[in-house]
Amino acid sequence: MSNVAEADQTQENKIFTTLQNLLESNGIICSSVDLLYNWARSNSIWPMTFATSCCGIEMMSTSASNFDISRFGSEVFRATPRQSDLVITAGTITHKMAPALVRLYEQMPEPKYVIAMGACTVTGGMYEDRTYSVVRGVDRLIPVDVYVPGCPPRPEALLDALMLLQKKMRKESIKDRRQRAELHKPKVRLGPGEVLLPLGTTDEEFVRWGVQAEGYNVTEMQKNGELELVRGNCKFRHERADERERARKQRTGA
Amino acid sequence: MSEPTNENAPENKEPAPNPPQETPEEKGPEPGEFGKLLAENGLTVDPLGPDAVGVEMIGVAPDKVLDVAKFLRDSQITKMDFLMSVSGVDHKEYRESVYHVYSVDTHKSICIKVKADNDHVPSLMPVWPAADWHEREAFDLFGIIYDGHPDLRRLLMPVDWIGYPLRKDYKQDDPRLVWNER
Repeated sequence: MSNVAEADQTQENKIFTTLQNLLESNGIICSSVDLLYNWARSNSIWPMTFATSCCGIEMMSTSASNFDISRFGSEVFRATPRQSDLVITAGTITHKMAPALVRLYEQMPEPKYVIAMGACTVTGGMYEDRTYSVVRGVDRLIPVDVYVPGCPPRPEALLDALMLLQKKMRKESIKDRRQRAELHKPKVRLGPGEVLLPLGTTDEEFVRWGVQAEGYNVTEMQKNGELELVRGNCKFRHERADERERARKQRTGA
Repeated sequence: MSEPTNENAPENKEPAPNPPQETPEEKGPEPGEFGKLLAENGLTVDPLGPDAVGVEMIGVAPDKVLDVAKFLRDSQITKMDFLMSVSGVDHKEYRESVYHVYSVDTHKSICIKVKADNDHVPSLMPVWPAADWHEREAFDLFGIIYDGHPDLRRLLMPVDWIGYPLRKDYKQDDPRLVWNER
């Protein structure tokens, strides 16, 4: 099933190279397309209006005149995921908010980026120890490009993160956008036998999702019936709960 | 001659301080201003004394709390028209619902404590509509069931949450949340 994706990618690269050769033979140079494309892209990152707690205040402060995020072309905070390139997760993500965040992320068009702002979205922050309601790090739900520690981080820190993201974007190439799309699929770092599937994914998609189950051959497990596919938005299923429980007991010494 | 007098003297003195120590412990807290008023109007409540800031606390049985609340609201002396908060308390053996009520007119407040009868307490929404979301929150986090509440759903936790997180014996063992383990 992964061959389908690979074939797609190689075919796309072939098209690009043939097109490039054709244009170059006619006196048109394509070498600067990436530069131009990335220059335009990285200087107009539109963030989504997404603030769940106190980090949101710092984010607003960043966009206000003292710090002025518009120097980097990111002043246009969009109130819809469909027009935004970046989601700054400014604040604690709870279990109740998690499905909404994943859905918003999925609604954003590619290429899309995530800045995890503040301790809560990096690791769970002060809720990391004993919480019943907080997600321990937003990277358990969506892939993160830049982490900004702090509780909350200063506006300078957020601007630094934005500049880092710009640097990252400038290094990317238009050719490997498929690969980038892969990297930016929402993923959940689950244990063995647990995979998050968004609504409406096909079996081919599942392989890409399965990459997240680290160190396990997901396709093999699926063949052997060790893994069950669960459809639906943000629904989870575990098949080896007892194994995890044992591991946790070992870890804690209980 | 001097030795026996010295021995007798402490024996005589010992029983003297004992009787005054016993008497104050047996008495409960005196009923305060509102406790007395309620008793005069045929509503017996359990006086619990003043709290740390001097607000009178009363304990009411679940079957009488609606009458007491209605009296406190409608009486021209008390005029308790503002429900400040509804809290839940987990005492392990039982759950308790605590109401803080204030009078905008007289600037006095009262604290009503209701021991839940097998987690059931009558809703005070007919008396103070403000109790709506407060009671939903207490239900959400403590599992106190407010009888007569028109819309007793979870307020803060997701709709499909299992268990009541603020109870002392709460243990999170929902298999759907394994991915968020530490």
